[in-house]
Amino acid sequence: MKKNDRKFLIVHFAALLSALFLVFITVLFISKNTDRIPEKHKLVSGQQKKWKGFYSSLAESDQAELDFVASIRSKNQITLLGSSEFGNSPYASYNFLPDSAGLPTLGVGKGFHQCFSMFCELLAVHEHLENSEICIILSPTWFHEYGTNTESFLEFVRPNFLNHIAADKSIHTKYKSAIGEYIDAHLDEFSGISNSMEYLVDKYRLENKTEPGFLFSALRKTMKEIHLSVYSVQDVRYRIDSFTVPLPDTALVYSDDYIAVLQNNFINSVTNNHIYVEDEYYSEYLVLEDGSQRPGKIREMNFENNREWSDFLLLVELMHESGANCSFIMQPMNPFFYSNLELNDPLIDSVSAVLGAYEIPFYNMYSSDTSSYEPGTLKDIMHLGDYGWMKINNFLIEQYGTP
Amino acid sequence: MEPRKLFLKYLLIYFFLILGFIYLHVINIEKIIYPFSEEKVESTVDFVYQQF
Repeated sequence: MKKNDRKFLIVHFAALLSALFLVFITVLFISKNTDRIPEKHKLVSGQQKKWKGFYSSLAESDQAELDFVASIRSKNQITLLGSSEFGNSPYASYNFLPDSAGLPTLGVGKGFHQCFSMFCELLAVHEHLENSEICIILSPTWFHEYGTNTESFLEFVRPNFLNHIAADKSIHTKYKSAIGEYIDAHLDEFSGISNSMEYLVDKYRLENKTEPGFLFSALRKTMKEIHLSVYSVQDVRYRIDSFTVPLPDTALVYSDDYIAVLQNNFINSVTNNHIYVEDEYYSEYLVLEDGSQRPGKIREMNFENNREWSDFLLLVELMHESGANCSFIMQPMNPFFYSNLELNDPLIDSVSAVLGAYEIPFYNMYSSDTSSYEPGTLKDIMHLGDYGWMKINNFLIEQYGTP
Repeated sequence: MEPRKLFLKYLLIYFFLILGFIYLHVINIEKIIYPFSEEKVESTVDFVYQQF
């Protein structure tokens, strides 16, 4: 190396080191002159207003978030988490149980509300989960998709929930890391990223040092610690003023005949098909242009790299560790429409085995052949009918109360 | 250029490069300038529920 080159390199190196030192001093100076000192906690307060019916999104109002937390905190109220089967049927558990069986029940969900959203919602209220009555309605169709989508994640996992998860030191790192991994994997599907989301992503990357963003996150974390007054995440606490729930004086007593009537009514109402699907749904979705019936086939489920399956395991683990009074239901699919439902049998067996190992009550409504399927359980090919809801109501009454 | 001037030139270049990288790329400088602005995150993908 020539003498001039060496001299040139030394000047560069000295300039770089000095610049790093100056940057450090500048960052400290800026940090000390940032005068926003956030409150350690944010208090969300209000009154519980809903103890029956359902919320199709927790983003619809602050009250929805508050009622969900209140429902989990109330040990005499069932919280029902589900997805596209939620509708306005009077026999849906969140309508029938409060009105007719004296059991307050709040439903939360709509299509795409799946295991990962549910896991995050419940993690955000983890300190209230012990003995809380929670029932989760699973659908086999979730396990053929790619897990919870970002739209649903943001609708149900509210900013306050994420703040609490990020700030609460008692939440296990493995859970925070799991959320960080999800956000990191979907970064390009979010319009931006909040402090708490960024915190969780960094947590995940720093736990997994082989991740490509590890060094970047390490630097970001250090910078945020210096600028703590701006970047700290506010913990969220709830103060809910009242749990007073007006209940009916007498609970409705209904017999098996009552349920059988519902089933017969449904069967008699079907006139344009022999697969026990509501007429309107059949004509709109199941009849092809040539007048033939759409073929019903499902794909084989792959357990490896199955996002929904790992989310389900995470959810079950949380339910077990928290001591929640939790139960699961697996919805059926219509075997008169789908011709190869036995492909889901390994999934159903695995779900049953996992829940059995944790001694979590499980009501399996799934059947892969027509002989063991009761017409009317579903109103179409995958959504619960009144008869199906009544079967669920019986299960919930058995689990959480007597009429 | 004499070494001292060269040193100062590169010191300034490196200083602004590193500082710029940190405040613009690593942390969001807007949060320091506007600390009370509301954090709003939306999904950039619309998922439409379909039967088939």
